[in-house]
Amino acid sequence: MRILNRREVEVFEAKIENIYGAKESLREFTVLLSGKEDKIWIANKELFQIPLEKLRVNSVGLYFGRIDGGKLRLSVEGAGIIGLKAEKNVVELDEAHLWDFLRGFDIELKEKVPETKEYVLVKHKNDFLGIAKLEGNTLKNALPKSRKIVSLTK
Amino acid sequence: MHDFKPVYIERYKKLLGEEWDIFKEAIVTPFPSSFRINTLKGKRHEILKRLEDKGWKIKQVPFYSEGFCFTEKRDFVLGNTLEHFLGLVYIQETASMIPPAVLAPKPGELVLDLTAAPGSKTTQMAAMMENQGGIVANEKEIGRLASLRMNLQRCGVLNTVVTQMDGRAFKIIDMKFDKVLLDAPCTGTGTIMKSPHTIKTWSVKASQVMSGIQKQLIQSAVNVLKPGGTLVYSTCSLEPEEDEENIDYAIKKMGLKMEKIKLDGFKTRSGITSWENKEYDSEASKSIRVYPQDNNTEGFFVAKLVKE
Ligand SMILES: C[S@@+](CC[C@H](N)C(=O)[O-])C[C@H]1O[C@@H](n2cnc3c(N)ncnc32)[C@H](O)[C@@H]1O
Repeated sequence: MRILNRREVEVFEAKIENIYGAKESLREFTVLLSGKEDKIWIANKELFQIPLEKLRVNSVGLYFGRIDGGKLRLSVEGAGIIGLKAEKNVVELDEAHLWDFLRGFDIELKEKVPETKEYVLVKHKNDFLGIAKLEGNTLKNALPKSRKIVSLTK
Repeated sequence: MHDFKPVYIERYKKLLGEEWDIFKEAIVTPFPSSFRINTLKGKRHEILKRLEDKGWKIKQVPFYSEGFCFTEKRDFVLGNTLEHFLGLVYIQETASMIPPAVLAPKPGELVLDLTAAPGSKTTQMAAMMENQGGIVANEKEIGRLASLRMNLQRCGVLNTVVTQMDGRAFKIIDMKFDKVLLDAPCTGTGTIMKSPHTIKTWSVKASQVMSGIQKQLIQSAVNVLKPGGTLVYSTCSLEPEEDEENIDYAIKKMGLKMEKIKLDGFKTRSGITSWENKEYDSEASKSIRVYPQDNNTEGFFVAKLVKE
């Protein structure tokens, strides 16, 4: 795990702004990289008063997302945080599609949405549900297995 | 029907007297399911409005403003709802909300959760701290880290580091916390309703062995506590060896001072001060026993201690 310096965080913020139009989205957090520097974590700044070097650390803060084939792939929580400020690459689902999305199915969208190679944020009303890849008018579901719901309650 | 071992019946008759008959029914009776609303993912009133709009029939847990239980039987699985997916609600037994409510961690403080998985109380504390300050959520068992991390993630917790250590190692670590929660591993005799096998595997010996480990964990907790800092010790076991005996140890051997616990609108019993020819420090009576017949919850034990 490595804590990013201000300059590095700004590079990430620029990337996020470029994709989703969300400005200064990481400023309030400490941002960390792990794995092969492809996993991104965020934490509150005060957490680092704790002398982590004395502990056997397994994870720090919230899993924000990762870089997958050069693309930013946000976690459900990462999508929720960015979603609040996002201005583009957001796809909204209706009630019927919501249930299918949460069960892990791909979604055929009825309306045409702007093409993009990036992952789009998926929302229903004001709830951000995660991300998906757009292929034509199909939303390729990218929910992690552990988050899929087998049967839904309305 | 549950088969209580003769030794179990005998000791609970000693502990409860005439109430044994009520207790033995209550300890195996299903209690209303309960949950917390998670204010790290939404505002309290907005989440409540949402649940109300969906027609959830719920009432607030008396001692904790974010805790709720269902007042009517429901026809859905809480874990399969959108609200659960979003981390707006967290399924948690009412009695299990007591230890964090008693420890009362505040924004900006440094807190150690010495035995944390699956993180019910860590996520509750993170919410109470409004994602500020810092929590070390420690768990020894590697196999239990996934559920801990998953729950922290779903609840949107930012102020927590997960460590994988034997809690006893904190005995020699040089660092200090404002507050420590020791929700100790235990024989779980307060949870027979949910895990009926507990009563089959339980023995006095098992409680005694557990008691030894719990004392070692108390030593760790005391080592990393700042002077003036608070320790909450809890178990979901009702065996005196795992409860008051350890509080007696914390007072006499570790020099901690007891504090009174007040839970508005929730019935609790005082800790006992003698058991099987052993006398405990009279201050142990400031700890609380939560009996299933009193509030329709699991059985629990909680004590609040301060390091001078
Ligand atoms: C009662 S459970 C904790 C429940 C948790 N506080 C919650 O509210 O979700 C006790 C935990 O302690 C862990 N444990 C057992 N021995 C331990 C030790 N020596 N050090 C640290 N953790 C330990 C167990 O694996 C178990 O997850």
